[in-house]
Amino acid sequence: MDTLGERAAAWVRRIRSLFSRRFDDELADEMRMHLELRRQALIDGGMDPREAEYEARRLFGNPTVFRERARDAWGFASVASFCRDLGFGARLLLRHPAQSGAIVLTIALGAGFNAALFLAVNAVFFRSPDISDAHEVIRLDDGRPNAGLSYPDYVDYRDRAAAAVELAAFGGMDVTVRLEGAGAPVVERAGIVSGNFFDVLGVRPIHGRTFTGRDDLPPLGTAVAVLGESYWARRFNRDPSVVGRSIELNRRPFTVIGVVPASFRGVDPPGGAPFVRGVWLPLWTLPLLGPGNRHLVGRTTGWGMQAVGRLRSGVSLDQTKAQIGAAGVTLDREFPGTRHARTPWISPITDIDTRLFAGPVGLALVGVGTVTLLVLLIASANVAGLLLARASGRSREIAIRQSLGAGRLRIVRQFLTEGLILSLAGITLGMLAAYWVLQVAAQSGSQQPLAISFAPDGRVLGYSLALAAMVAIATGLVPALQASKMTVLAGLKEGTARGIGRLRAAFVVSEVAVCLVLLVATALLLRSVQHAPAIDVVIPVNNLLSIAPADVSAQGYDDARAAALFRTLQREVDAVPVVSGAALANPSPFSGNRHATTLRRAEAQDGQDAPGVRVFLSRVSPSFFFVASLPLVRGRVFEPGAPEEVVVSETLARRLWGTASPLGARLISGEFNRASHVVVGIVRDAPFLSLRQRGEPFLFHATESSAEGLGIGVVLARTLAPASTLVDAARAAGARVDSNLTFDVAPLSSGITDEIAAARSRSLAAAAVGGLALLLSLIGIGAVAAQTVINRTHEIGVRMALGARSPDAVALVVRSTLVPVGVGLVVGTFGAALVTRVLSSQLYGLSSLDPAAFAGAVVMLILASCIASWIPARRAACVDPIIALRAE
Amino acid sequence: MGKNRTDRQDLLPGTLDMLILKSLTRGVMHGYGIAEHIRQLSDEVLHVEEGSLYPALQRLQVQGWIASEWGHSVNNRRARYYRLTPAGRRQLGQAESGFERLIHAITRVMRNAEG
Repeated sequence: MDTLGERAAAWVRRIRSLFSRRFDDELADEMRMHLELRRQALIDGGMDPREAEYEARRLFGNPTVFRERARDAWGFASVASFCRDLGFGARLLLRHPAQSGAIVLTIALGAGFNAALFLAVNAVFFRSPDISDAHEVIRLDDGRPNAGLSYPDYVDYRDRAAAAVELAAFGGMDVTVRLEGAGAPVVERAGIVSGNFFDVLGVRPIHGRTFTGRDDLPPLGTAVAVLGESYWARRFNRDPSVVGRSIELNRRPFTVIGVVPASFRGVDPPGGAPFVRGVWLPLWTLPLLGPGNRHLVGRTTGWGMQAVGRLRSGVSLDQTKAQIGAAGVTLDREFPGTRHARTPWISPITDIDTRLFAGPVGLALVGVGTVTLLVLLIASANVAGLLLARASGRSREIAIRQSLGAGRLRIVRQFLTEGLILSLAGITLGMLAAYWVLQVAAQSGSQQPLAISFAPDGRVLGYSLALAAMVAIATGLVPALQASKMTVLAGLKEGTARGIGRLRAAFVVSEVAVCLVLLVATALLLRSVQHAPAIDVVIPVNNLLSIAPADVSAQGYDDARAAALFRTLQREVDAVPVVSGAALANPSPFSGNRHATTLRRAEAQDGQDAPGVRVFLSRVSPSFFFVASLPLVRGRVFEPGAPEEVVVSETLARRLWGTASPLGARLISGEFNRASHVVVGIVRDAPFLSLRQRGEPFLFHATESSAEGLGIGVVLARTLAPASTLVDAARAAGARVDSNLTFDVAPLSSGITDEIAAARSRSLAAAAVGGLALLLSLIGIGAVAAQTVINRTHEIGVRMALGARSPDAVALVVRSTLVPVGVGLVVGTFGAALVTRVLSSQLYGLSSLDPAAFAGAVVMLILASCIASWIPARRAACVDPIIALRAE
Repeated sequence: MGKNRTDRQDLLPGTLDMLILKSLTRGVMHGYGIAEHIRQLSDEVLHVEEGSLYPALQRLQVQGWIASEWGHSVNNRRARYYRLTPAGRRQLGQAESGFERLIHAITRVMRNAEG
């Protein structure tokens, strides 16, 4: 067969021909000359000129067909004819700017939410950090992406795999920055990094220097700081002399040694810091930043420290994996029980971490993604309906093109190309709008630069193209097939409106069904939020005040001093008039904070552990149960000075002992630092974590049961007047304890208010999506009604001539539209019943089959459909029988 | 239109290309010339829609068997002239021998069946 060279030469000729724009013209010229010569020859042979003309054409055959085939010979027919279709389509669409604009807008609206979701997911999960030679850089963790590494583990991995990879570590915390002569201290996000961090990532300073290993030596690093460029611009007005200056962080002096460029946004894993860090500090300055800070001590602690590394030249990823894996096995053997079995995980930083999508995050994304695609589906159905109507209006054009030799495939392609132009324009518009909204929303309320970027990249481009192709097929295929089916005769005669009408009705059915599902979901969320305030919270939150000192460790308190501080604060608050009692709680109920552990019965030990139960726990003072009025069901509260005594919730008691009495039973908590407890009392269940979660197993134990500080603890005060009236008095009590501290004081009910507000904004977001779906469906219904008026003008004219009145004509049109709406409602109701079950965990004391929500959504959709079809139907009332009949 | 339709024969598939190549061995020709040449030499027996010549000419150009350029005809009209390339000449040789074998085989089959 052909040699390679010949084939290549053929391609060169093809490509050259593609650029020869005169191809068509030349071919036409050639054929025209052929016909002319043939005609002349026939005339010379004695034929009548007119007959010769005809005979020449007959001998030649259909020139259009041969032109197409000649083009096909070059194999670029598809490209060339696609370009022609594109041009033709664009001209056609521009001839109907209003309709085309409406279609583009519909697609843009329908795609907007989906586009925003993709941009957000892309920014958070898919984009890799902007660093040089990123493909050499890896992430390392222990198999649990969110847990991070302990410092000693990091050091061991670093040293044992040193031949393959240079590891660096980083974490984050808030520090209080005080600048000389700049007024009040400001809290700023700090990156706490190993000495080699910037070198490993290849970040060069724009002023001064970055850290070296010597800045970060245990047990105490040098008090030096590197600033981020945007922070430097914000706070120091880009003054280069800042290098060498001293700034106060958590009341300790640090020397600024350099500035790193704004292009470095950090290497936090997805879901990490949302804003770029302003200040960077060496790891071993942690003891300076907070006395008693044990972040770097022990293998069981984790504070979310992450590790990154750069592969040494010539070392493959697999070799590094092997070395790190071996180090993990050794660590497990040398330090058993200090962590969950180490399964070191490393991956190029440019790769997407798919583990993050397992579990609730992935489920939520799939859920929200599906909803947004449904909205796009509704929009597509609308557009398909519009294109279908236009296709029937173009039956003449199609018939003419077919009689000129255009094949069926050709016509389908033409329609799909038009659909593609429209959907590309629509998707682009939707993407741009989504980008703009996200950018504005993310920046609102903060001038700090985001650590993530929503800017469109290759992935966004690819996704947009895929989405546009999908929409083009969804909107263009049915009209295209329908149009290509129109035969020459039928097209020239006008008609086939009936089949098209049926298809459009099918679109309405699907639109209404999808829309109903979204509306029911919206109605459920809205109704459940209304229910939320009525939920019994068991304790009198309006008469409970929470007083929390803000970040005591930053103010130089170690654990022992902090514990004393809390005790003094409790006494001081108790002494305030109108306060009937004060207690300690860590974490506080309704604060949004939670501590959890695994709990198992102690007596079931026959070499094997009893099965564990995941419980939430709170460390409280004995007075807590009285102050919070949490009803004791059985037993007693724990005594002061008995750290192993615990009180359990009803659910926990039932979960572990069934109907038997747990009083006096022994429990073991924790995986690593095991502690033994004895149950002394049972209290009622209360929705401390969330109003949605009534029966979570809960464990209360004494504040002195652990040496750990009361980091996020609060003093709770029971007030005789409404708690909100005592905020100032409580703050004054705090100031008497330590005037340097600031205190967060709020009624306990504010946590509940916050939760309801958050749920309300979520349900309003759902309502926005549902509202958009409704709007799009109504546009579709209205368009179908309008088409019905046009198609049935004649029939309406006859009826009116026979005595029907205008309202009858309107009713006729409205009725014909409501049939598909009704079918859609039935389908949608069943669909909603199946789908809304996934919402049950989001609802406040409301069944996911709540009849009121279903009925409300159905009634709303019926009413809206009536209005949507009535508006165009009014035109039917204006039909003049004489004109309608004359049109025949 | 004195000729009867039934006197005409459709071309065997694939033979049009060969006929074009063969026609061009006589020299440079434009499309009409090739059509006329085939028509006359076959005593108007071979029936081909004249237009189908043009896709075939493009096909042969893609293969590199013929080349074309624009020139002026005797009565000074602009026309595209086709000529055989060396590769086309080789191809024609192969096609001819293949075709002869085919015709020879068919003839033998037909003769034996009759005898």
